Amino acid sequence: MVFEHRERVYYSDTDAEGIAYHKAYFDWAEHARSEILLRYNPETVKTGGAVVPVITHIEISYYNPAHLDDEIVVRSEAAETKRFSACVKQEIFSGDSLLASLDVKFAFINSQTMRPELIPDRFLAALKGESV
Amino acid sequence: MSEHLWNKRIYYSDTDAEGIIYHAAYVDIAEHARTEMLRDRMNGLSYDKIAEEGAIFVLKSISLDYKRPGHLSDIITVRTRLRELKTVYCIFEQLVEKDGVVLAEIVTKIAFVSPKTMRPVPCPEKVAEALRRFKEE
Repeated sequence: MVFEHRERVYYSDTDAEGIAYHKAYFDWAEHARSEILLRYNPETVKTGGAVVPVITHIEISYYNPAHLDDEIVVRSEAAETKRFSACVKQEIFSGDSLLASLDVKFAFINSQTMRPELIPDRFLAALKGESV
Repeated sequence: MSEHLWNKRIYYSDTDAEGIIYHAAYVDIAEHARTEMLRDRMNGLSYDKIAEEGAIFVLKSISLDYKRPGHLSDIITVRTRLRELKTVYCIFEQLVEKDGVVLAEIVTKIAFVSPKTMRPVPCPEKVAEALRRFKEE
């Protein structure tokens, strides 16, 4: 299932070249992932739980710049889910133009022991778009 | 291969609700370290001076591997190396460390682009020479 999340490019997202700063794409992608979880399972994003998600790897490729006031769309899809890790593919568009693509790998850890934990079923269900 | 070292303290603005360095903060940290490398090791060649030579640095891709969390008030060290220098792009590799322990590895591919046409251009010779010197010294 592909999730769509919309954002507008504000001054705070841009740099001295007049385009969106390269870090802004990380924030938009993170907002999109959070909205998926909030929509399906608000508890998974609350902090203080014993088992929390951590990002282990991100790759981003930039194709075209975003500009001030652009309305952009982040399209997110679970690419791979394993017992201890999962990968989300995200593409950021302005209109039909692909601006950037990201591969985000994450795992779950026990916040006390810092050891890896199995990915919670409810979290996987949320990623796959199943109501939980 | 030579490397540039840059130290930075972790502030609230670098952290998230888990009390650790926010994953995208490493993107800023890496960018600041590359900028300071240019100023320290390339005869003060800042981005605006490089633009006057006929090229701007445009990010093509970034790959980040997260190994350990960093925390509020930590003093971290960024090791910046130039892995590859090609005609129209270069690749930096950076290690973010705390007391010798690697927190993250960051690899950044940067294209040289004409500020006028926004098309790829060969790295201006003065800049290429400084980058080569940093890579090999």
